Amino acid sequence: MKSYDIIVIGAGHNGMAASIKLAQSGRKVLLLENSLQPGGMASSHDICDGFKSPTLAHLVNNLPSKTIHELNLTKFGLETNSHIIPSTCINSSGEYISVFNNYKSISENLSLKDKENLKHLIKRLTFQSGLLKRFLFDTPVNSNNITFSKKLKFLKTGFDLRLKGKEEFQEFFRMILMCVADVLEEEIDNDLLKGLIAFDATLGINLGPRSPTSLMGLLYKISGEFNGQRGVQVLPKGGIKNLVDAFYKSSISAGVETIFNQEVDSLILEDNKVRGVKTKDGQEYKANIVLSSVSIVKTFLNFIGPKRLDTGVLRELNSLRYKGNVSKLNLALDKVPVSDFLKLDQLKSRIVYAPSIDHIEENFNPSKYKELPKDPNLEILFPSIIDETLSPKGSAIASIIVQNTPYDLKDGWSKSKEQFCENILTKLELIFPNLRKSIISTQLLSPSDIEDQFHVPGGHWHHSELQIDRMYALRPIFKFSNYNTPIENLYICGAGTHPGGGVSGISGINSANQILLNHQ
Amino acid sequence: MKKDFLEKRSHFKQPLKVTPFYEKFLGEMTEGYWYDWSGYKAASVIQDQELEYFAIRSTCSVFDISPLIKYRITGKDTENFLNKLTVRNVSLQKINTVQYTLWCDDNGNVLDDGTLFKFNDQDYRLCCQERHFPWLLDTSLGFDVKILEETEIISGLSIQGPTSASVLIKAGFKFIEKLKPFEMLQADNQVLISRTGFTGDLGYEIFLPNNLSHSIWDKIWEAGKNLGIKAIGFNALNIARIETGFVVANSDFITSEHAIRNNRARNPDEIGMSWMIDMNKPFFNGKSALANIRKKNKSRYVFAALEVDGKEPADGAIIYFNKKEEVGIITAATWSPTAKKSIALASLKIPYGHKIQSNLWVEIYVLRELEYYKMMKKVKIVKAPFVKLKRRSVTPPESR
Repeated sequence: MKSYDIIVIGAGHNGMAASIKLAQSGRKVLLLENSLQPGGMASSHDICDGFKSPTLAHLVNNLPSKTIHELNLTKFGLETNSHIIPSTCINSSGEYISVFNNYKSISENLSLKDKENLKHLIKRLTFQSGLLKRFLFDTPVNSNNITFSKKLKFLKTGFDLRLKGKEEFQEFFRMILMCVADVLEEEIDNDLLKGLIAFDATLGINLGPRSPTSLMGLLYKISGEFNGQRGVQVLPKGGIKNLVDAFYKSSISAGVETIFNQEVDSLILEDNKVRGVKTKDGQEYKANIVLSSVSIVKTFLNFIGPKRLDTGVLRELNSLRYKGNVSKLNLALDKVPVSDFLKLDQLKSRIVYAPSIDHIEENFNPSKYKELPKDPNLEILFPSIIDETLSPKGSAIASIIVQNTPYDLKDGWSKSKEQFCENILTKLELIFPNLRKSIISTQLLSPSDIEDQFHVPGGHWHHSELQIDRMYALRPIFKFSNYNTPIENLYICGAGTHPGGGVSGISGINSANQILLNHQ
Repeated sequence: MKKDFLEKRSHFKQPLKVTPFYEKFLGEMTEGYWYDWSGYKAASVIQDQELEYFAIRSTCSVFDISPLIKYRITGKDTENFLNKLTVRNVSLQKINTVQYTLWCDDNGNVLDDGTLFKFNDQDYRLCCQERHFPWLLDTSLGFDVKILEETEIISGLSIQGPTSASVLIKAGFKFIEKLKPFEMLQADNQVLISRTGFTGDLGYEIFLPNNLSHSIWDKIWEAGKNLGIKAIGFNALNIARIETGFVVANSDFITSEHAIRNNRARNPDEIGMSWMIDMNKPFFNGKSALANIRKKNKSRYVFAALEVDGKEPADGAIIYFNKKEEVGIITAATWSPTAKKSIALASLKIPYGHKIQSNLWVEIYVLRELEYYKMMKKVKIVKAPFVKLKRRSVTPPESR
């Protein structure tokens, strides 16, 4: 039986980030990965020969310079002058608007009033999300972890908010629990613009634009940065695969030993202490510290098991909401798609099909009743048009995120999947006529496929719902929010912990810091 | 439709349920003194509290324990499940025995205490004071067990006192003389007799399906006629249980689900139940919290048995150190007719009752003809029980 200082489970970006930090401190780190390649939900695969498609995540919106710097990502191939992707919101009759850089510059076809109002709104939201952003790299407080400096930080944040003036102070508390639709309707007239922002606020969570607190999703998104640029969507040069490779190479250089194709079966516990990890094929790896970057639900209910957990904790875990509602459609196309409405340049943007707030809300409604939307909202990206290395010349990859597709469909996914895929393609052909003819390969990943393929119970891309009741100190639950668990020396990180999803590696870094603090 | 509607909502006419023995106790009742026990109408006093107490100690008392909350737990993983639920080691319990036990929440605070009856490795009955069905179900996650709430289908009688064995033998219950304390036997398929009780005396508890309740009562009552049988209420039992040092949930300690203020719940060490906890078990609810509490000496209270100077019962009195500093409270007190002393159970703040055992006083207020007499009485910490009876454990019991 091999023994290590620390075992990290799951080579997603968070698992790798934590491993790098831990290995940098001189500890002997083993990283165990279930699949054959690193990256987890940010990994890529060949949908057919030569077509390297991002399997799930296709854009980065939160990779702070601190992450890039601490993990040496630039040294291992990440280019900081990556493609900043504009957003184009389109409706089925071909009207569209384009938005650049954190909604800051907008295409001409927007009224002057909207432009002015948007500028003010985004400025305000950027300020508000900046307050949240301060806590990204913090270990959240909980009952075991309230220090003077943390209290001071809260106090200072409140103070800074107040210093911004009475109006901003009041607006913060007025808006923080609002729904995104109300906020947008106060300020903006253009349906497409409202649709785009509302889509961004609600993508990935089980809220519609008119659900209370849905503005929080937007604040969360805007709190992201890429190497200093706030609220941008970025496609790393060489695709998201290149970013994952940079993580992986950095981990190798830091001395992390990664073993692929190792499915963890259980944790080895001695009394209340973790002693190592047992894999499905019976291998045992010893370490006195284990960090799990996989879903909280899987870590506790599968690796440890309900029999070994206090009933109160079990109740809290069972009440976590972890059913995903996002599907992913990957297409390999033998021709670069042509649109009657969009120029080639605009195909290099993130094309959002979310014509209006009402359209999104109407799409969200059936998901409450475990039904599929009739005209789903989409985020369409052609990574290979932006970065030509990703597919053979003259061909293209379409990477499409489909919103509001509930995990536990009433009729079951196996029955509905094919028809649903057809519906999406038909809708796509309104914008890209003859798209269907150029398809070489189609892959639709429903939340239940995501669950199977990435071993995330519920197939939720944030591991569990990222709403205001499950943020900061409440993520994943109050008891575990400082990356510790009731099992001694078992730590957690990953999208299910603070600060949540997105390819950022932040929770990995935070939990590694927590481990280093506890085991000096 | 209308009739149905009224029927469903007629519960207000009868705020308290009655047990299958209700008519039988009502027949003996002269005092009309009832109280609410878990939603059941239960007797505080039937005829005379003192006479009922002396029935427990010198002849034979019958107390209705039907309102006890009862769960039947069956299935392959029952033992493992109970080992997770409770703090004691269930694997050590023998078939046909009864274990006094308790269970904790995640923070190591006591949820309830109760008795666990083992029929076989895959079949147990848990009796307790409070309802715990959701807690049991949530705890059973991952275990192959079935949990049945049988409070309303199983009734029970507690037969306690020196002549109780003779009464039951005369009533036709065979082999009960062989039962040692905490052993049980099934009289036939449906009637369970255990040598258990809440009095510290010789005594038995009988559990049976509701439909047999009247016939069994009649048999026992007939058999007890010349052996001093007497129906009793809780007040008499309460004196006997204080004499024995038994605690009552939500009276001597607040259970964690009832505690509203967050320092009111108690861990087992704080209610004198340390002996129960088996830290060698691989896991149970609250184990790591309790280990932590012990490691860091975080227990804040001790539970103590006290003898109080004088003869006034010290119910609810505050305990003082050096007649000045408040250091605890009396949770139950009585004049013990058997020990001939004023006795009490109390919760004391550490270090009082722990390292500091002397110079403790209680302040007792006695109302005499519209004038309060305030007394400072010295208390002495003693070891429970206050009354220790040989006949409680002698097997076979003396026949009378």
